[in-house]
Amino acid sequence: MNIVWTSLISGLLLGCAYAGAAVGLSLAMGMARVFNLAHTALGLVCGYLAYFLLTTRGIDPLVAAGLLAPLMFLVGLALWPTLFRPTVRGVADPALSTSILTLGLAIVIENLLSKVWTPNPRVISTAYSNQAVNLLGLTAPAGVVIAAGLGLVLVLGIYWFLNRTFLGLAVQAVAQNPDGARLVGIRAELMSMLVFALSVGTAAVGGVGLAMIYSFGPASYFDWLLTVLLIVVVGGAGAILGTLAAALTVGIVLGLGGALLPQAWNSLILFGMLFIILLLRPYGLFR
Amino acid sequence: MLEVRDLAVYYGPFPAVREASIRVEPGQLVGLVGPNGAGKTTLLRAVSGLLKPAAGRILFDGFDITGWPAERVCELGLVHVPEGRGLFPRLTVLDNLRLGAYLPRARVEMDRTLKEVFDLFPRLHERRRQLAGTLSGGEQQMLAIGRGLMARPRLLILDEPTLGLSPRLAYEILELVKRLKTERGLTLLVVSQEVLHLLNIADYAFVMETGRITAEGPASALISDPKMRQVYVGL
Amino acid sequence: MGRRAALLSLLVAVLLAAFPYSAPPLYALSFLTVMFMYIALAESWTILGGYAGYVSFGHVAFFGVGAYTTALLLLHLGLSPLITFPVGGLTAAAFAALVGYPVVRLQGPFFSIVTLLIALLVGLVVKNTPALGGTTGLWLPFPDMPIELNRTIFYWLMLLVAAVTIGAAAWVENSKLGLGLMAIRQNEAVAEAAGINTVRLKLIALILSAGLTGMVGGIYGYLRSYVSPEIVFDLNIAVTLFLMALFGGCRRWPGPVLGAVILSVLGEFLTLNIGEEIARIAYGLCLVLVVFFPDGLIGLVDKVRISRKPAYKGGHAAER
Repeated sequence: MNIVWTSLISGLLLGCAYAGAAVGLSLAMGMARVFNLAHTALGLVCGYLAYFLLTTRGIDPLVAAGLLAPLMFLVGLALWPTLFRPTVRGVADPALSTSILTLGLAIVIENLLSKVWTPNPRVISTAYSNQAVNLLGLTAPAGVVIAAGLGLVLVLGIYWFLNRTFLGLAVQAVAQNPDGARLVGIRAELMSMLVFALSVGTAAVGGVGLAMIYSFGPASYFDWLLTVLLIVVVGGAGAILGTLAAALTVGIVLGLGGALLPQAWNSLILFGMLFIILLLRPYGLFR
Repeated sequence: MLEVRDLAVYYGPFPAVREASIRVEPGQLVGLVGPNGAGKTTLLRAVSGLLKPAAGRILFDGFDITGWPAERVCELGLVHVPEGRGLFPRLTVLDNLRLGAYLPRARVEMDRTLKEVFDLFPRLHERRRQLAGTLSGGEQQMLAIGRGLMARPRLLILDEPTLGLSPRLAYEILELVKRLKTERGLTLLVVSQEVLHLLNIADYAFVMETGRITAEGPASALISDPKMRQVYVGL
Repeated sequence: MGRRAALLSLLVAVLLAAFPYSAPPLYALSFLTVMFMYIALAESWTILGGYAGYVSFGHVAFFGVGAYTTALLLLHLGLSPLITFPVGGLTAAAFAALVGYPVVRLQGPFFSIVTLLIALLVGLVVKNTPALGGTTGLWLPFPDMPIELNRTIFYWLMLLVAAVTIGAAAWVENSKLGLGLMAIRQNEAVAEAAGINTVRLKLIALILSAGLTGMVGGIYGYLRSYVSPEIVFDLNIAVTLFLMALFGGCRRWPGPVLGAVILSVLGEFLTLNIGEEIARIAYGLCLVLVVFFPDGLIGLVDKVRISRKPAYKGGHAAER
């Protein structure tokens, strides 16, 4: 019984970290209409950068995340008018086009990372990251707890922004009815760009979070992507609390599965779940 | 206040509006009527900036707003309540209204305007924390009009505010529209299927068929016009 | 197809077939063999991806199924894949028929992601099934003949398969099936309303495409003398094959050929001179680029050709 409890808690922690990585994709898919398959790849870049800053300059990964987030936000702002606005506006199936485009981007990123840092797996380990923290009976490494905290704060922050600020409401308005939004004076185009840049900014934090938990290599973005995609699809693209709930659920499944089932089954369950869910909701999740 | 000259609007290769010219004088309630598919909605969407016209001019208050995007047009006080209402279904009634006052000049007066709107539509006040998508058709229409009012418009354009409503509700809505003009001095341009009632409350009206303006005149004259009977009997 | 084009193609085919007699370096034979393989893969992908617009990210699954089929037939029944490769195609087609029905009802990117998942899942299943070689894979005996002959036979086989897939795609393109698929791509709802059984057509295209891809896979395993989950459910192959189709243009059959040739050469050049990662980065960039040119190179060529025709007055009304 004890092992069930501890894997539950560890699953929740994992879920929180994944929630942070997933919330950005939820924003991108649900509000900016970009099927950003490069979301976790961008996060992975930040994970590598955090690793780099840690090992060469001793900069704590949390500080790195704080620096990288606004940086990636700016990157998102730059990417929108160059790559995404033309795709989302001018093409017959923007969802398909953005997924192909971002897949290409992810491949570029993966190979760039491989070139610069080689395929050897990396680990972010600070002085405190392996210290044991006692949480509700589970002894977890501090790094994991911090990453979970980061993810949770991120998700709640995005939720607060969307629902408690006027700008956030405007963003939601554009997502729900772009014409209606424009008719009250909201610059729909600007809002889409904003929410996309936000999604990329959060990818940075989410990526650093995951990098603090797992050892990672250039190809890690792919497994992360599938997990995050599962979360977004289950929770509903654009629904922040739904994303959190889905992330916690997935985290628990991963936690319990990791403890109770042989290793190989983990991936099978994950991909299988995503597969079945996508099949059962053929009408898609774009509202 | 609003002048549209020889407007042409295309949907792809298809001309939905051709050589359309209408005028709205300050303080007037102007009706735009015609059969389905005549291009009325397209015309309004071009005026409010959701569509770009291919030819012609749109003048509002002396400004040439032809081709202006919707966000800029409503800054001047031209507010369009679209067909289908354009509400934000998963936001509350209150948030929908607050967003109506998004523009800076409207935002400073948001509290005052909100009170005015709630006085006008007590039912909205009751349901202010409800999600807009869960309201009934009539309530949604009230919300849409209320949201339009939040922008403190100089000209309010209502596209089919009676669509899908019961006859009694449609009547109430149009009566309300009349009060907006008489009690608040708003200038209004209204499209509605309730041709008879609309012509009764309007000062002036235009008739649109297959993309063109085919008749116009004081509303009272149009009511007794035999050609008009054909139009609204044919509806 | 025009008389001139047909003659030209025949000439090219004959020249290519005769190429081994000029005692070329083995490397050239190998490179061309792989290029023919990609032509075949891109061409068969196009039947569903290009004509119907259903972009499959995971076509490599069928490739792998074909490879494993011939490998198992060789190991357990002693039958040479040089003969059994059509059976590889049949298993792949059967597999497609099995999973196809729910999958073709998905739209756009969901279809793409699900096909990717299928490839992953099949790869995972294979990895965990010892009878199929598990993660270590299956070693295949090398055919008993001098290497030049070996390479030449594979060269001809791949050339044949490439020709077959080109023929198949061209046939589909000009058939009622092709017309229906293109209608689906233009506007599926309208096609449905017009009475086209979209699910049936998509399924047929998927099965045909899968079968052809499986045939290619059946040969590939033997070519490498080794099948493993990594090699045959390789996501790089998955992406490369549809990249080539998109790049060259997947609305008409010459497109994938063009794309496969150009990108194979480019990839090889970059890999040899700079590095494999750079080659893949180039592919990734091409993928990004391709989104802005949905009709590919062939599409661009067509546009140039049309605008040169003297009868063209250079006008359709200004688009909104």
